Amino acid sequence: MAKDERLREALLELQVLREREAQSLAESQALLSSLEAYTDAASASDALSSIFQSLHRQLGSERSILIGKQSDHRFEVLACDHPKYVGLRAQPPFDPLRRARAVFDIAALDTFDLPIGLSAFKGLLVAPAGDDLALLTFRLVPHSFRKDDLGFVKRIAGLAAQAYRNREIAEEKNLLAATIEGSSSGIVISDASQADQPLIYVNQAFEAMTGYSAEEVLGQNCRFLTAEPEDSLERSRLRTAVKAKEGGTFLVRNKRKNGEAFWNELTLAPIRDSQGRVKNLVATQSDVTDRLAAEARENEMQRELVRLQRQETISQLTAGVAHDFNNLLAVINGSTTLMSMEPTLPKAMRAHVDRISAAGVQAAKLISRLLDVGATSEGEEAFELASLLCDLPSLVQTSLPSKTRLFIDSKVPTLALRGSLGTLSQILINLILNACDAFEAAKGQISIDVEAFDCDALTTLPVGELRPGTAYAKIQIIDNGKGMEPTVAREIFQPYFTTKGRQGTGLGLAMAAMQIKAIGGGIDLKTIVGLGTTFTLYWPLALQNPKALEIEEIDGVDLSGMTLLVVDDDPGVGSVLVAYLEALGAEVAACEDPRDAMEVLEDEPEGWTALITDYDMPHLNGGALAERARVVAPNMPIFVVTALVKRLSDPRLTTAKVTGILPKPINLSQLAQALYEAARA
Amino acid sequence: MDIKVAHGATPTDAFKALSDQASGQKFDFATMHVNCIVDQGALRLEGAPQALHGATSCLGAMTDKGAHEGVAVFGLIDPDGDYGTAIVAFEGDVHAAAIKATKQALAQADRMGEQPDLIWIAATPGEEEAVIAGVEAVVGPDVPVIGGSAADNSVSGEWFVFDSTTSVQSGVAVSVLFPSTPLSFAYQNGYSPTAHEGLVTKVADRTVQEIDGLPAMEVYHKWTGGEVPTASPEDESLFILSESTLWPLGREINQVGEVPFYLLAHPASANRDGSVDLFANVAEGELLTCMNGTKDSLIARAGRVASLAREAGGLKDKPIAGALMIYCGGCMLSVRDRLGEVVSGLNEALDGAPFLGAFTFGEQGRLVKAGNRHGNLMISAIIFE
Repeated sequence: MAKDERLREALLELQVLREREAQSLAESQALLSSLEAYTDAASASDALSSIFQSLHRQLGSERSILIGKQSDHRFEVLACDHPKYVGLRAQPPFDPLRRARAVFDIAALDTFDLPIGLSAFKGLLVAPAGDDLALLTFRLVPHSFRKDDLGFVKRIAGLAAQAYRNREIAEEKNLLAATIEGSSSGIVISDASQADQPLIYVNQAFEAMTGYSAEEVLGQNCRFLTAEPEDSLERSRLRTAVKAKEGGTFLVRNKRKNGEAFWNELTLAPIRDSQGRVKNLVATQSDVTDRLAAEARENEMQRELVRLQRQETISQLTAGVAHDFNNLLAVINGSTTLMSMEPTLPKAMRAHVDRISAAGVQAAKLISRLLDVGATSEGEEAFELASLLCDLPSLVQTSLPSKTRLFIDSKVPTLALRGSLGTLSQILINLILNACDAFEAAKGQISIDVEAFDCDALTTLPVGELRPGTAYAKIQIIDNGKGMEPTVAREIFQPYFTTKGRQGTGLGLAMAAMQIKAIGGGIDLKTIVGLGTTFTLYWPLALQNPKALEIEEIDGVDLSGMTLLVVDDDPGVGSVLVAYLEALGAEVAACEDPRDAMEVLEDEPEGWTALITDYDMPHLNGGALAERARVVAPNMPIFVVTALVKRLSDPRLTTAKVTGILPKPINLSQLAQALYEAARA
Repeated sequence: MDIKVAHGATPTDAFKALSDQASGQKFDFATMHVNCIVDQGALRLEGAPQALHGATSCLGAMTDKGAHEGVAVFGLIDPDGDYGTAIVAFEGDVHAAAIKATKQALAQADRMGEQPDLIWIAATPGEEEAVIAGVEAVVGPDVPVIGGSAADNSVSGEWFVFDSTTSVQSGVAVSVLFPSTPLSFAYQNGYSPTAHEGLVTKVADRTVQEIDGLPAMEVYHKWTGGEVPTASPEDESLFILSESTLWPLGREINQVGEVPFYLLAHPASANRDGSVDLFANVAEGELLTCMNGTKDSLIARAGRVASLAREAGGLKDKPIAGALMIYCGGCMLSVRDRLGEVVSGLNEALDGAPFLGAFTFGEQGRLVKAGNRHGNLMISAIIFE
């Protein structure tokens, strides 16, 4: 009996052990099979899929998901055997991270927020996988899992988490690799563990920048690129950094495979292993040749702008000084003239008067030269427009995008323009390149049309103004680009205003505006968003402005019978003029306020032989007075006297409206002669 | 996981002794087994865990400290585990009551719908098979269902089951165990088959009326060589629980290496009409084998089952936290004067780890290749790592 019992007991124990081992073996085999599929997977994504397939194969799972805890404490489906469920939000009625669970009947659970059609499933096994992931696997109704199945899921959950992490890392690596490969900067990696630090990776941008293919350069030290002299300071600095395996930024002259030199801005970064040893050096490289050239151009333009602004300031300052000084000279010179006309003047005194008179004339000339200090010399030059336009395509050709076409009017009239060919050329290049930017990536067309233009009415433009009676070359630069918003169009001639961000200086159009104003021209602008922009340059033709009178001095002029109206806010100048003209026989009235003079003229427009007026006066300047006087006395000769003949740009002072412009300090005999001639005419 | 076991004359004494060992820690689960003579009003225990599982145990219970005629309590401290207990009166539908109790216990553990590692049950005797079916209806057949039927001291129906709030004389206590550490178990008997066997030809529930067309008691009496007496014509029935302990009836439940293994039914009464009452259901057409055991085997068996449980869980050479034992009340009655040997055997098998053993009138457990079953004269062991 006892022996039989012992035998039965031993058998039972054996069976228990056999069952335990059989279960353990089955689990091990299932796990091994899953591990094989996992390790054989070609990618992390495939490895994750192999986990889901193992669950299906080993346990009969019909849906498996990996969920992860999000920052809002809800869960999200991070991976699933059916991709349409990835990204869904999930809220189990239990904490899936706390412990493994074998749910026999999903229907018995509280609300389970997971939109995968839960009602179709009965069994659920849950296994935490790390701190924030959990593997869930479902079986369809009516089947639940065997309780022992949970062991397999618990074991495989760690693999699922690892596969998911690996997939994330792989995706990040792919992104990084794509970013590096697609970077517009050249990126090279060298093996810093070897003595010569050979290149082990170059990206496409490096190949494009240098002209070398990866096959040609891998395994070589990067020095084959250098075009710097051996003793160059920057090369020495770079060499030291590479030798010490340190980071830094360097600007070195390199050469491409075709021998062309370029400036390479190179940033060196060491990559360290877990022991802190530098394993690689990563160099990010950019061809900054164009940028350096642009920076040089910008610096030049800024210098030019400052020069122009300074010149304008000096010009205004000297003009003011000259004006005031000329008034004083007018009195001095006029008075000496009157003194010399005095027959009773002692001979000894006459010599003194003559010296004063001569000194006055010299002083006037000195003032005239002083005015030149602030003025450009371009007004004295002339150039042919057709030759400029002929050269223009070759000047801009390299900068034009391939999709942009430039058309230049083939029937350019022969026009001699005032000023510098280089200035107009610079303005036109500026406008053409601006137009190119307006096309962005689209096809574009730029046309340049030219015609002669006679201005018959004062016209104020966005830049400068057009004077009636003046002839201009009208140069239109027309593009079919994206046009400009009105707010932009209003600002584009302002210094430092740009729509190109860091690419623009905001100086090109501002300088063009200053230059064309200096020459007496103007710029008009028409732009429509979506249709294009037309810049119209009005460039004065050579020798078109009214000239100061150049009358030979004639002695013995008799102005008897003339009634003259003299207007000058400086009483000294006025009294000298009056005295001189009266001495020549004229009846002269003087006004210090131009508004009084206007009243006098309006009262008796026919009562005056001529009007002699200063230009720079308060309330009403000489231009305005002349214009109004011409209205009431259309045939009356009008002479304008000004210290600023060289820079006078008043459009009303045309030959049609004034008889002559006389420089101040006035040559009284010239004035007398002019009056005489005018009266006779 | 930490397990404490204590005993006392009353539930209060026992629980106080248990709490004194806990150093202020709260018990997450406790199972208390009491002599049916204890005051049921004293079962409201201050500080008891919500998951308190209780049942009467024949003439007391045993622990690693020995056999106790009063109360023994097993407390489990496992904050990382989940536990729930529910008690439901049968009220005419045992299956439904078991379902309800299982769901309530899962709800108390906050693990609705889930499969526990083990379900610990205590039903009042009569329809344990229906209880198992009800439990399995909720958690499936894979979850081990282990426990023992509530027992009184004289098979007079004074048994009851209880939890922390109530006790019922006809009902089931179900505890769901989700421990944080592994557990293992074994369910076995210590009997060998004799050459005597016969088919059940007439049966009503647990009363076998005929074997091989003859009055069942007549056949059984003959199989035992007359060691189990028949009822005299004067008596309606004769209480044979003690005599039949060494001669249970077995039903072949599985085979291991072509050696049959048996689930036992314990004859409780010999009736004047020639029928015999069992503590387990048998069906018409089932083959009954007369089994035979000895007191020595019953004494040694407890320790061997405990060892087998450790072996089954791979815990043979690992330290364990404690154990729960179910020991058939009938067996206990046969060896009561040698219970110290039983305890010694268990202490040796469990390396002195604390354990509680209940003496029951029907044992439920999980058999190799046969799933969860109710049987008699069985011994169960649950080992907590």
